[in-house]
Amino acid sequence: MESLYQDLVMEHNLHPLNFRKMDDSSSSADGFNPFCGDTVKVYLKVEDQNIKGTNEVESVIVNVSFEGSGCAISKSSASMMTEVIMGKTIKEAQDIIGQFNKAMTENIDGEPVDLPGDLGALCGVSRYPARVKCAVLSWHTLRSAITGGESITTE
Amino acid sequence: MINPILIRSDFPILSRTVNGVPLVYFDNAATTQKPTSVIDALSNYYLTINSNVHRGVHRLSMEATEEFEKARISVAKFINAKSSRSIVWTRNTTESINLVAHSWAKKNISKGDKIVVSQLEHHSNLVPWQQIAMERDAQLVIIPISDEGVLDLSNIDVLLDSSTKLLAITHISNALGTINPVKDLISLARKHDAFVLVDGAQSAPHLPIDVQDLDCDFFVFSGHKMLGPTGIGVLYTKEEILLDMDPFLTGGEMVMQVWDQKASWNDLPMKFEAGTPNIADVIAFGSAISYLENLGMDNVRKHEIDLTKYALEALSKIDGLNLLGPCDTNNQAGVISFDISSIHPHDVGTFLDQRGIAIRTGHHCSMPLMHRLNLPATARASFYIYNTFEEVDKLVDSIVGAIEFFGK
Repeated sequence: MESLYQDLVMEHNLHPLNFRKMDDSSSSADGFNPFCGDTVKVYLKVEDQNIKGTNEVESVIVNVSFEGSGCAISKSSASMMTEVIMGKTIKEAQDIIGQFNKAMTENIDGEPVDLPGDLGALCGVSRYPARVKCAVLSWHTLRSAITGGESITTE
Repeated sequence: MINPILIRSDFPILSRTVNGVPLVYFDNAATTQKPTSVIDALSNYYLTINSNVHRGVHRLSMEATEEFEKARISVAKFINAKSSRSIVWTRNTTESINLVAHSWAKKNISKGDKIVVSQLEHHSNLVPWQQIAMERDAQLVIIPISDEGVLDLSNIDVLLDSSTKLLAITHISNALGTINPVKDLISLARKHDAFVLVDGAQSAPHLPIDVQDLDCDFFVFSGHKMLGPTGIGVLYTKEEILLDMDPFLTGGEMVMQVWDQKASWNDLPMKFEAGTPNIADVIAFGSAISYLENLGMDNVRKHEIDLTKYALEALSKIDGLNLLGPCDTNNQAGVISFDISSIHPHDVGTFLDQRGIAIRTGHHCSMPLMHRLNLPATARASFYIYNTFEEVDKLVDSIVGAIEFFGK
């Protein structure tokens, strides 16, 4: 049990970060897991900012939040996600989405994987195939919010 | 009297471990375990009489056909159907309902007719009627429930009136265990000349069933929820109604004569059984029926009442646990759904699994009911003949453990 519900996971579950509606978001997306009935909404505020010392512009996530209902795994995953991608560029966020999905779906032994922020605490989830969908729900929803805001479901 | 300790020796799977501890199987409303006699019937069929039914003059085919039809007679007797001609084999309850929707409803439901269901339906007894209502421009009416998950019949005379063509209702809620007063509802439907389909997926395995006494037109259930194999379901239909129904699937077996441009239909019930049927599973289902008849369905029900009372009493003492459903074994089967405000049902399910306890968590294929209860999901323990009081104790202890663990 402790490998799945590590202290950091329990902490994020009880006190999720950025768990609120965002009124001035630039995009949002809904996620639904029909298997559990979990729902999540991810809000993003993205701004184009100059890259220092150049004339080039990049898209930066200046604010991110989520709301919804779900289990300890899905809620803590969403909370950790917002903490990690806050202030990142879209490209950086997409890289992290890729790393996290890989850790959930390809790391079947649940070995510790080096992930940003508190995300390493979720590595044990990959040993519980029925729960992987809980962990990735907010991440699929984030990807959707980045690319256009379609509703997504995890099956 | 049922002695679960003796019964358990007939179920090899119950002696396995899960996560290093003995399995406690409380997911019987989803599917039950199978006794050795059922598993043996499956393998004996393939070992000794495997052949196709209804068409061979050779010995194996005759023996297979005899066993296959014997199972049909057993099922007819089990639910007290007048004739085994009323019993059509399907894959499962869902297919049985779809057969009625396709072969009966399309012909008999017209614009403006009412189809009445309840808030307690499994998706399988709701979605086909949504489809028929849309296609036929009929009205789908839903009998509401109380917060305890009991049908609210205060307005039933308005809901179920002379424009009602079909009442399609579950006998027992798979999500909450509520036993509906189907006999009273059938009497009421009769007054308005409405037809009645009873979803018996959760009742046939747990209660004595008498379709003649109920006087329903259709009664549907699945083999795998009552010790039988997966892939075999039953549609009981009153013979005079079945005679008048159009075929469901067409092709081999369901025909009498075939010419270049047309065909005539076989006798009942083969008219509704196109193609080579699920022979092995039908025969094994016959063994499951024998097993239950040897126990006696009154005894099955009594055992489940005892377990359910015991569990309800213990669970009601747990702080923070909210019991859903009637909480009264007079109108509740061996299904207990609950919600723990501080823990999501999936976390409860994973915690219990670590202690070898299999329960169901989720919406139980009853999303409209979850919306009504304002819950995304529930945790559900469901009992059967091989479950013991000690197993209920383990469940209760582990739930207390989960509340401590997640509350830390």
